[in-house]
Amino acid sequence: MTTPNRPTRPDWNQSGPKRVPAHVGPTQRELLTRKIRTLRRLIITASFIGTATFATLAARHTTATAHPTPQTAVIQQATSTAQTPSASFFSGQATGDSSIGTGTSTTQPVTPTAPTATSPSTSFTFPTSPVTSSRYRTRTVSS
Amino acid sequence: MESVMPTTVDEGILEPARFAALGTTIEVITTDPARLADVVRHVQGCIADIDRTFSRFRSDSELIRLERSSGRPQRASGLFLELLDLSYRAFESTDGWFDLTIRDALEASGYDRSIEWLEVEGPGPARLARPAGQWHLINYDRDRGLIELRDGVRLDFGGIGKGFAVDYALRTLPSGSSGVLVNAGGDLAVRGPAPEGGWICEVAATENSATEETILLREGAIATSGLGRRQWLRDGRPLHHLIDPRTGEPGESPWRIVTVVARSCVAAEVAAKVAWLRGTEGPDWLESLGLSGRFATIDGRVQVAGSWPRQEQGGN
Repeated sequence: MTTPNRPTRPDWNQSGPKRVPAHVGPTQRELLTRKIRTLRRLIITASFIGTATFATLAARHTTATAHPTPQTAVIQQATSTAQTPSASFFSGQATGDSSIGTGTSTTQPVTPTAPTATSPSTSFTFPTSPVTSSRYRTRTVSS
Repeated sequence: MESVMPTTVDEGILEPARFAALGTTIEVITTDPARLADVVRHVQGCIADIDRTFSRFRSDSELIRLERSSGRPQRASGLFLELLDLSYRAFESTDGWFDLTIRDALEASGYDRSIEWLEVEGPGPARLARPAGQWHLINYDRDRGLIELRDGVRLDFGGIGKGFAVDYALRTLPSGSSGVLVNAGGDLAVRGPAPEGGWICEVAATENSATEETILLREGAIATSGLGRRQWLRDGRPLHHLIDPRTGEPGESPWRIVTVVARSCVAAEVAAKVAWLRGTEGPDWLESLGLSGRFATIDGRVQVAGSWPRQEQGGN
């Protein structure tokens, strides 16, 4: 019984110039091309997923990405429903976790020259007599 | 940043220290003169950070870089996202009266360069302004440090940047036993022990105009809003920087200046601006927030809100 002839790989050890069979090159190139395409698809998909996740998170973070309508409508709507303005921005710590009030614990109490007006972190008075000192004087103006 | 360092006399430093930045004058005062130089250096560094991050007049600022990359998520600094987030909270808390997305309207009205270079008179706007209320074109995520500006939306931090700069400088200041005041073009806040009686704050329309009232501030912040020097003419029409977000046009108000006391400088600055824009509703709106303020009309009358004293105060 003879063994049927089967395609054999080229004898790489045979003498003479070593040639790469014609079908090997294109196949490897095709494989490489396929790998590149797959990789590219993966990158695009990952990028898309990342963007979508980011957009979703951002939308949640910004409460439905703010108002989808022109601002005129927002203001008109607020006016028509007589909505009380939110005080969160004005009463909260507006600039991060620490605040300008961090030094207040060491503030020495000062006898006011007039009734003191206070809110959680503001304190101001109005002079009852002309202020002559210039050392700690400044101005609030419309710049 | 043009710097005008404190005058030195016999190795001592006379207060206050002033330097030019953010299109205005920054003033620093401390209760301990020996600490002033260090505080000034710190404040200058903070102001430089703010300018580099938020300026719409610098081609190398982070704001301009992000706007150039409009349409895709971008990395943004923590500082940028902090103020953006704060601005959005201000937008919500004012029912849209404070809005960063007025930038296009502001530039269309003529304010397209730093105020020092703005021509007082010129031709009218050459294009229609994009309306405000463009927050739906902005996505951001502070935790991941990302922002996406879509459809070419552009931002103007001019209505909150100075106040934020003051708060930022004060809160990052190394703690010390002395009191510090930082004033950015009229928007100011204090930290630490106040001098005896309090910091003396004169209320005035502009840097060169007469004092209208004086208050003593010990904690918190104070800001004034009004037309001030940021006014110009286009086609003979008087215009200014306080844009009404409902119309995209410079707003109209019976108030000449509005002064507000609040716990932070951003809150005072935003409240003063919105109270001015809201016109006759301004005092009631301010009181509804628990804030105090002073409203001066063009014809010299004064109306107050909150715990600001009802009686007329003369200049001191």
